[in-house]
Amino acid sequence: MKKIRFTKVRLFFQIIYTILTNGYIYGYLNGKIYKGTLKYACVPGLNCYSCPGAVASCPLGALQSALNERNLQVPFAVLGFLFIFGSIFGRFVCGWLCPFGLLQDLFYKIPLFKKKKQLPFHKVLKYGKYIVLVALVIVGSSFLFEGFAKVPAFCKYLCPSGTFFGAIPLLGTNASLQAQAGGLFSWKLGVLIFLLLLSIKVYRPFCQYLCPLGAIYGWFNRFSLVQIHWDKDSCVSCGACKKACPVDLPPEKISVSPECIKCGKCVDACAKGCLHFKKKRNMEEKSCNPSGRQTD
Amino acid sequence: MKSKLIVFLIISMLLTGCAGQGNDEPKLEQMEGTESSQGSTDSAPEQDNIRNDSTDNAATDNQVYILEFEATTMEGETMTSDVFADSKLTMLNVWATYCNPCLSEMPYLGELSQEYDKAEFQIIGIISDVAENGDEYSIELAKDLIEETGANYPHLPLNQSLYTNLVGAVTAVPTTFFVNAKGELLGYISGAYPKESWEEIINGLLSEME
Amino acid sequence: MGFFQRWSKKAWTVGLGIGVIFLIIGARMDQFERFYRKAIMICLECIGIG
Repeated sequence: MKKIRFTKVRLFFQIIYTILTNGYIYGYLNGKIYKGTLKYACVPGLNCYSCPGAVASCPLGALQSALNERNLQVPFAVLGFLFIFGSIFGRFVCGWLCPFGLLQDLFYKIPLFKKKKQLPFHKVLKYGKYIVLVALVIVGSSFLFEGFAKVPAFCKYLCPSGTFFGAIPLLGTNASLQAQAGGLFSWKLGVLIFLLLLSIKVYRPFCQYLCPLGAIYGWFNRFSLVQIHWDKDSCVSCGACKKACPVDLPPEKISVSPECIKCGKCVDACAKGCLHFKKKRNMEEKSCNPSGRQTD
Repeated sequence: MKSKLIVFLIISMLLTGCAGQGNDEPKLEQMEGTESSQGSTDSAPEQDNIRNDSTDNAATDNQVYILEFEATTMEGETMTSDVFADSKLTMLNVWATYCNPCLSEMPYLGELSQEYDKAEFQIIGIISDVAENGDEYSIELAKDLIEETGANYPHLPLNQSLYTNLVGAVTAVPTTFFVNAKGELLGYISGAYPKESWEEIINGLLSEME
Repeated sequence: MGFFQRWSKKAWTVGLGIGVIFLIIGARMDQFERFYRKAIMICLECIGIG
């Protein structure tokens, strides 16, 4: 029974996707950003719209800019995008549709240090993403006045994706911006370098402990259309899935836990074939729900 | 293993060290320009309208870009590029209502606009996120901000002419352009600067004109 | 238990519907313009420069 090797497919897919969504070559060559109408739309992952190559907007950037308005409104437009992406994909976005996730995946592949899946105190630290979401994205952007206007607190003080894909290429191509880079940039660069170095040893530390977008999509994870289904009846409890899982999830938690990024490594690892994506996502077998009964 | 860790730490410290220079003196970027396009009906401007020469080859302007535009101030008066003839040096400061650095330097610009004789130097603000025929909320917000920052010089909300001839090529705010009395674009600077830095640049440009 | 299983299988359609409705409401409130303007004219501070 020939199975699709999701591990290889995913990497290929991530690279192609990142090139498509951040491939505005003219921007890179001239140090400018894309200004076309595609930027009225958000892509699902962390995709800084100040990246010279970005062709669409970042959902978190858009969310914060909505909260930055002087008269605070419910940001329906951005919530619309988040609900749509969350309902269809859940954290599949993280696993397949986020350039910064790809970057951390690549760093984890560097053959240095003994690899760990998680940091110590993981059970507590994993709530860090909710703290970042509430403190920086929501409260910071809604209420923090610095001077005459509010600021997108997560973008300004933390987002390493913006530093890597936006700030660094822009600084590289715009001499007059280099004079502007000061203490704030040093901090953000330090954060970026720290996270990238850490991601050589620990799997996707930003995604597991800090990403507010992952926190949001995590809420959708058990309800989303894209799921990895577990055929409990065929399971022999060998633990191969948990071992392969980069965030160490047991089979009953796979796909439904807010930590699962639906990367598909468990699907590849299961010798009995009891884990599989839904039929719509090009799979051969019929999907079963966890209780083992066939549906539709 | 341990030695590799040390190597990485050293590299990362070096990298962060390099970035922490603080604000260097702003450098005026020289402009290479194509001819100005007539205020066409294109909705998106040609970004080649204004190309920037990011290498520091100062005096290689083959063609000088002459800025032309037609717009309406926040007070409702018409303003065209004829206004450049009023001063030896005109500073066009492109800002946005959401941009803190822009707003933080505007009080200084307000002061500077008072300190020079209009025949020598004038400042015009261009609001990149408020359209001439824009919604009331945005226009009111811009007016409030102009008042709060004390930037009491003329401001132009964005229109097609300004976008096609100037703003369309701007990537980030604040960006400030300098134009002489003939409307020739002398250069531009990205980013906000303190009053002293602007004074130096303005005085430098004015003395070059003598 | 059975009800919840069936409901959570269809819940994505509810979320999708809510998302579409929100998009429409947001469009009528001109919210797309707000983040679009920021997406094409970046404030340097927002990306940590200056």
